[in-house]
Amino acid sequence: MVQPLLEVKDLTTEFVSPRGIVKAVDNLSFTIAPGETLGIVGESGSGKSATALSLLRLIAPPGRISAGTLLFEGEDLLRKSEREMRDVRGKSIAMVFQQVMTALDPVHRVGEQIMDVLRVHLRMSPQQARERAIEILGAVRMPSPEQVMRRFPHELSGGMRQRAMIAIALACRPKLLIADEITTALDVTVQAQILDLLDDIRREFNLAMLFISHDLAVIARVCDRIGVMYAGRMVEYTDKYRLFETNMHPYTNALLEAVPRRKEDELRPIAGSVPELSSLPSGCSFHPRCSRMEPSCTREAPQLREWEPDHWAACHFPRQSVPVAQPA
Amino acid sequence: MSASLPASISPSGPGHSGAVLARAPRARLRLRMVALPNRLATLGAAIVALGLVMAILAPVLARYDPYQIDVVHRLQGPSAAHWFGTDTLGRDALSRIIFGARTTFEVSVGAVILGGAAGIPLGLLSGYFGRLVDATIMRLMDAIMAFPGLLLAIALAASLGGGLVSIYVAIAVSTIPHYARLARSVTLTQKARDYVSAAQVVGESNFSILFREIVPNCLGPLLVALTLDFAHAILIESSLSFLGLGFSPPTASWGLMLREVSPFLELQPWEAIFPGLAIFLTIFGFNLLGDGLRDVFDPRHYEL
Amino acid sequence: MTLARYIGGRLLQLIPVLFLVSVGVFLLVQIIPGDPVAIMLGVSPDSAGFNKDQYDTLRHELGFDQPLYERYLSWAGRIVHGDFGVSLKSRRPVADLLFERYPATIYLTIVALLVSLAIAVPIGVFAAVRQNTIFDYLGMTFSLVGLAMPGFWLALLLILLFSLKLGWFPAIGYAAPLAQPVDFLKHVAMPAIVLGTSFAAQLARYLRAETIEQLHQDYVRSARAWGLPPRTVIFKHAVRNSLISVVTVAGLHTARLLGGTPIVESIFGWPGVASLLLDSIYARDYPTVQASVLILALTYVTLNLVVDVVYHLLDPRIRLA
Repeated sequence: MVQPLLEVKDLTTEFVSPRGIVKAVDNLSFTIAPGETLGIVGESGSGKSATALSLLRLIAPPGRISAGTLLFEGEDLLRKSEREMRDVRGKSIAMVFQQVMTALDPVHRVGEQIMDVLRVHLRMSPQQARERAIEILGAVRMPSPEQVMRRFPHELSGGMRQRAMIAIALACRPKLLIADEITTALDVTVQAQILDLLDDIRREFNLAMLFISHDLAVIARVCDRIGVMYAGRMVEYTDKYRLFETNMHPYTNALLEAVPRRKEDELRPIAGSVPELSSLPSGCSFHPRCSRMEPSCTREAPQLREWEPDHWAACHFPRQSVPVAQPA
Repeated sequence: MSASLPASISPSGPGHSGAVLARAPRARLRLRMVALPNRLATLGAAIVALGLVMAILAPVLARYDPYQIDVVHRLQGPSAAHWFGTDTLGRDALSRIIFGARTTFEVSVGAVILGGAAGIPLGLLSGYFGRLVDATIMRLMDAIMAFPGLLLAIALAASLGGGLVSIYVAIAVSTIPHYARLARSVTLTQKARDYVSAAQVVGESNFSILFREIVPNCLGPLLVALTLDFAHAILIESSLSFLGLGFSPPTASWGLMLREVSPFLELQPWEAIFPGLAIFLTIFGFNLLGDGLRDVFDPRHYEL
Repeated sequence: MTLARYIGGRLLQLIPVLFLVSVGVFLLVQIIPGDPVAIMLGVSPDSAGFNKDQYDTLRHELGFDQPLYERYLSWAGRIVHGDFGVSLKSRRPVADLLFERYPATIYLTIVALLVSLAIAVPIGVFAAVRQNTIFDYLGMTFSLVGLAMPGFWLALLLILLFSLKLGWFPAIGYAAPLAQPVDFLKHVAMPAIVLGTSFAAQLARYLRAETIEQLHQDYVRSARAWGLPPRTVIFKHAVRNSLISVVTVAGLHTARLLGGTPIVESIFGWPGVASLLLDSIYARDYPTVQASVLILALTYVTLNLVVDVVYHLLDPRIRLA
């Protein structure tokens, strides 16, 4: 088996709030192999973005990573100094955010913002950085890259800004790209273009990706493997085909049902709402919304178990009910 | 100097996982910070209260008659008999400062009430009736505010010839626009609300609506404005007196004490310290109190 | 188009304000209790030194033999033509006096503005960047103290320390900035600090709040995610953005500095318009009082208007719209 590029074990990220400590990410584990794309799907408030920020250690107080290991190429990111961590950010692991309108600094030209990253990480001269920046803008299929270099962010459209963000992320040829809801703020045609672009650059750069979205359709299109998050926990984790065909967790099932397949289909939203992280239900957090709920679900929280080879779920009553292996 | 990130966006941890995992002390520090503005407001209230006590109990607290001239003991430094020393006429500086509190509080309270009494009705009328009334009153306020800082007070005090009345008028006139604008904006906001139109439907008269529905809603912001204007009034009074346009000798006024000492600065520097400190502390107290009240009544306020 | 309309609107609003200001300044002399002519002469009609001819001449010169509105109209008419009357004290045209004194006030205000920025920018930025540390507390203490500090007391303290004790700066006096730049700097240092302190205190507070807000912006998080060093993240991104709004705000409030000039000019013997005003008040030289009040108010109003319009020209959001 290939050594994973990223191995997250028991990651827990919590926020100190007036009402006590809230776990935004609770005991999360997953791995990403080189060149592989893992999708994380979940409703807002499920801890997807906190997971993304935790990987780069960008969680701002009053939040903090309270437990776990983040092995990237075999080294624990949580043991690195802040200075060493800066060499990882933007160079080995890059991130693109959802906020296309505000994620670029409005007072600096786009070219300068790309060149800064190249100069810091690759110690390029201004001339080298300029050439490389134009090249990378071309690689993300930005129209007339040389002109865009001189533009301010507000002079670009949303799609072009997101391309610019992707260009900055790719500038230093990272091994892992974290994409946090990067198509959510874009309209549908632009969304499709950006997804096509991601397909191409994945191949071109042999890039591993952590792709975060609330949209199962987008996730299904881009990802090899999928993790479903609910209330800070991973509730199901497997490859794309198993998830769609033989999903085990009732929440995954509900998410799939909620996606309209044809235009005529009625939208079937999941009953109930995402619980407040500060007052989670006892036992399995999903039980108040669950169709398979049994009394034991309110008492005991199910652990993530490998019910079938490479198919993990955290449920007392998974659809495929014969456990094939004990959790590792 | 190497810059580091502020606490609010600082990284989740330094090099050792132990430190990454445990950050409780920082959380405690932040909680303490939240309470700080309240503490400053309390400090402000305490300073103001102290000044008020001095003003009210001046005859009890002062060990000497503030007007008692004692030429033999003039220009003395601080001593057991005269804690803050004596002035050019041998008067006890501490007693004069204590009585100065009385002067200061009388004038600032009086003048601010005067300014409010003129400004609030103007603002209510302006906001409630709008159109020509509004335009006229607001241009008048613009004209008052076209005089920067102390200029209007100086000009008024000069043409009114100094003395108590001119001090009151000078301060009151320069604070009128604060109240007028405040009352106007509150009125405009309230006017848009349902209960005012409801009252209009029921047939309440304009003035009864003004005073029953609108005025009570001004009280919070008004309290803030009053508090901050006390500080403003104290600054104007002491500045006028310092310039010789306010109180005249032998009144015990902090600004005047500084005026009297300024030619003898080299001889008796301590005489320049204490009255100034009294002015500074009183303004400081009112400012802190006002800021604290504003946090309560108007948390989103952005000041410059 | 909108901009032209905006400027036009501002100018239209200015007309009644200027009219009211001129009426106010005119009335200053009229509200002097008692007989203003006698007060200016310093004698009362029944006293021994009373000179009926001199009294009548001055009364006519000041127009007190005419009805109030006529006096206003002829006074305003003369002002519009640059005739501010003759100083009762020096017997020179008031316009000449203003012309001599005006530059000193402007120099002082400009230096005070620079001093305010030089104090406020480092304090505000540092307090924000090191939020909730000792630097922050010290910076904000400066701000609170500066706001409460009466200018005249600060001036006396500075004179005590730097002139009388240390002898570093002259307590009073003036030197022309172009002819004697070094002397000018020595003389302007303390007045400019006194004039600029409270403005600096306000700016520092504003800059701190603004920088803290910028530090929470998405692009600051982006810059951190790109692995840029903290210095770049803070200064090139957060501070750079907050400075833009602070420079705007500072510009819009620069005219306020004029409000402190009477105190500062009179203490430091700075020969500007504001000290001319005070000297004239003490000398009961009312034409000069009127003229200097008017010129200070006009400068204030004009400066506010110009800065406001310039910012509308420069603001990219309005340009884009």
